[in-house]
Amino acid sequence: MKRILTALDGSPRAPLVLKTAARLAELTGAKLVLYRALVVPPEMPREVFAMTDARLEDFLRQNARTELERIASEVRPELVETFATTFASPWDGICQAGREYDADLIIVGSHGFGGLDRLLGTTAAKVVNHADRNVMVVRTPL
Amino acid sequence: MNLPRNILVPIDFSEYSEQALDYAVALADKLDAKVHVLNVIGVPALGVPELGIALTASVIDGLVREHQEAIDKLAAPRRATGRIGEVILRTGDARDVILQAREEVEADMIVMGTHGRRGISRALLGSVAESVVRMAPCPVLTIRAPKGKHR
Repeated sequence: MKRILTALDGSPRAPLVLKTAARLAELTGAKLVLYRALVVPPEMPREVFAMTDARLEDFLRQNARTELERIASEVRPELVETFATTFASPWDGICQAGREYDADLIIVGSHGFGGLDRLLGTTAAKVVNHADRNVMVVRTPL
Repeated sequence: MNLPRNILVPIDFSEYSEQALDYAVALADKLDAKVHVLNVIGVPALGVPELGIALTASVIDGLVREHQEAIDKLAAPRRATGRIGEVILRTGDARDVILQAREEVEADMIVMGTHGRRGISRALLGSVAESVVRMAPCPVLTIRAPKGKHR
């Protein structure tokens, strides 16, 4: 195993997902690509950014990057190969990033089961269905 | 996260499930864990009583024997690794049985192959793997890679 794409969203479970990925990377000698999808709210099309302030995109990207780096400070820096962000719906962005970085494994978190989760389909379930590579879904209590 | 000690690998004798088993054994070696192999004979394979379709006892026996031989054949060459634990054959709905077996062997990780979905069907139909991902309380690793790509 050479490269693990680790999907980290803005939720409190992200550090736990990263911790799992880091343990696995240590054991298998893999490096981590830390990925965050930048989500544009559906009621605000991308064109709005171009029209109003092009720097907004940079701002969102920079923000996500800073957040990723903060979470990453919890694990040994040599485990982290790079950071990646794209504007995409999370499941799609994760699948694409998995391909782009030719990851051997994608790790995503998934919150508790039951309730709406079963009906609405989580990002994790979509990644499992759509990704063209191995996926590990990590349960987190949060 | 505590690293897994017991990995459950549900297999259906497809190419993907054999890969999943190899992957799990390799992973178990790194994690110092056991791999438990499960095969589920689906309910429809045993007939659907409501529809008056039932299989005779001898056919069912034959089916069970075939599956038992197949699962043993998969597990046997991998026993030398010392990583193979229980080898389990069950009948029922795969989704339910996988979750039950997970509790029984106290698996804290599930590794399974998935065929994936293509075209319209993938938007509409859930796979067994997806269902397990949604319901299992432990990490689930789904194997999709082409043969020989991973070590």
